[in-house]
Amino acid sequence: MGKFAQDLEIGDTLAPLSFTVTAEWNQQYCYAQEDFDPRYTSSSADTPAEVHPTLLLSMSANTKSPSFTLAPDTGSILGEQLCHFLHPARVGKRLDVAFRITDIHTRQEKRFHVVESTVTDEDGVLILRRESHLIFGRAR
Amino acid sequence: MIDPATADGTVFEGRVHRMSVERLLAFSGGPYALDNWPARNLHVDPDKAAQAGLPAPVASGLQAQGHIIRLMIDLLGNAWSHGGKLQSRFRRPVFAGDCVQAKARLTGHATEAGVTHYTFDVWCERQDGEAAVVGTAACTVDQRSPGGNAA
Repeated sequence: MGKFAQDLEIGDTLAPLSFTVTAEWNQQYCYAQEDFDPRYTSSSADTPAEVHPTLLLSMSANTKSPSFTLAPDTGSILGEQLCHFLHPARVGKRLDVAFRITDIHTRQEKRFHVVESTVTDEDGVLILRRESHLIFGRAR
Repeated sequence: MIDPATADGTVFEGRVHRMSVERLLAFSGGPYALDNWPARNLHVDPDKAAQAGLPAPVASGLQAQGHIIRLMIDLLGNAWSHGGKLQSRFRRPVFAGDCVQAKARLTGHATEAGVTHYTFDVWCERQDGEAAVVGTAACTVDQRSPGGNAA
């Protein structure tokens, strides 16, 4: 069994995640955000629709890694985040997410992790680089 | 769309969005196609939220942040997905039924050889006027490119 999320160390990685966004799944996020911009809903023969950016952010969260597990009676929240959008992702292309712990510190008895996530498409194009600052603590 | 003639200090506002239970489910419940949809978590399930000491399901911070991204794309077009940067701090919860509105203040811009770099203060405000998400954004737009991509 792997480590609990809060026991990871700097340099540790979480298991990578691969997924492919369908038009239906993409439209689910368009509905959630009330954002039916044609860039997310219209495809042409040579240019599939763009993946909604909030779907990319949801799927690149550390909690989406297949190896993410919390210790019993603990929780984590996202306190801060830096996102760099580098290229649009396309519906129908496989997307690969990698996760790595880049910093850990403790403040006021709470443990803070910085997780870098990258999303790359099946052609090797870097789509998104993201740095998430997570706070671990006891669940109520 | 923003342009180089826009004055620094200009404030832009997105639409007001109600964070209904249905929209929280669409965002945080997992793909509709899953056999066991929806996932049970504190973003969509009142019992899970109560176990965490919350009065109602709480929207993912990413969902409120998404309205800031929408505003950036409205202002900056394709350039946003080719280099847009967003730094966000998640300060207050947004509960099911709350309303939110993304806002951005142009804090600076500089143009050289047809390429403009913009910086913003950004936030997503609840109906009580408190900011749920605050941060900064930056993006470079090439006015010579039809889509504005700086790459």
